[in-house]
Amino acid sequence: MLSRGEKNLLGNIFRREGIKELSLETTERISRETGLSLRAVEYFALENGVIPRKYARNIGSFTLAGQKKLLASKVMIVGLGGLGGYVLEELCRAGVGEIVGVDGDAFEETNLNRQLLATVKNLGQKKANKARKRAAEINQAVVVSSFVSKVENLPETAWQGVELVFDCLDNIESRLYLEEKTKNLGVPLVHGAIGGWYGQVGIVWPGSNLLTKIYQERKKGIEQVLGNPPFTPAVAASLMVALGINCLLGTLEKENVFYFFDLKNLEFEKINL
Amino acid sequence: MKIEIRLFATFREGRFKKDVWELPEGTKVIDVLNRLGIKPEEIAILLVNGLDAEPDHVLKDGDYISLFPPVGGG
Repeated sequence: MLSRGEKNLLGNIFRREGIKELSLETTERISRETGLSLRAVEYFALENGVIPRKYARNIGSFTLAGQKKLLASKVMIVGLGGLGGYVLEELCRAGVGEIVGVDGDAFEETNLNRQLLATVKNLGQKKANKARKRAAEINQAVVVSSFVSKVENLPETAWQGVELVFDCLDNIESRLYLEEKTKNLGVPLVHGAIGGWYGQVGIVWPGSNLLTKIYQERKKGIEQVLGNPPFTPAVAASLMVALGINCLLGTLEKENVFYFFDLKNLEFEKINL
Repeated sequence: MKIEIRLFATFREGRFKKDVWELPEGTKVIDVLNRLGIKPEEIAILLVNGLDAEPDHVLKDGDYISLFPPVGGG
């Protein structure tokens, strides 16, 4: 992420100022002084044992090396509705360095019951644009690009460098497309789906074809009848982010399992597929 | 032989969460589905003893079946 010259430049500043902990203000100032990105300054800090204060409460759960790995990671979120809004929020706060957000839709009134990014003021606006603004409110070091597009119509360049994809879609047809696409790219897919009080999450390792197995030719799930209440997407999204971060950190066992949860009875089922 | 049936989410409605049935030898999963009134196409995940299985799977004493409906929302 940093050239030797950039490291020397930052090293001199950190030494001169005796920086032991990095505040937002200091990060911004050093970024201005050096012309380097906020992300680069944070990355350098972590590499040298200095914790950016905004990540202080991540440490303990993530090591400094882990936090640095997250900051260097690039992921894609496909779908920025119920699941995607929360996934974006948590990835930004976790400090995942580069996020590509994809959604062709605009906010509607029916989104207000559950979608974190949906507000009265936002109605009619594109979800992908709002996602970029929200990310900037939380963590300006994170580089966010957004595509107002269906996943099927994304330009090839959008996928460049993406090492993990979050399936936050709301329809089975596009999910199957995404499984095929990530298989061809050789990139793991963090799947999440919800319906009523129920949901499922899991990692689709390239070539495992778990979604094809589960959905087959099916067009609809139980959400068509049960709707999507406020709490289910938040739970599913948090499970997805936990799985995804574990995957990025390389600490996740590579097995073909799904987790099915039932919030009505507070049950959690591990399924081997 | 005794077979345990575990239903999840919407499959429990009007049925049960868990039940043990006494069934004749040679019973297949599809026979159980017919008696439950659940069509194979309504099922996303069908497990016998926690492992992926097909409706024509022949059951043996002590097996347990788990059935999950599809969820696709986001």
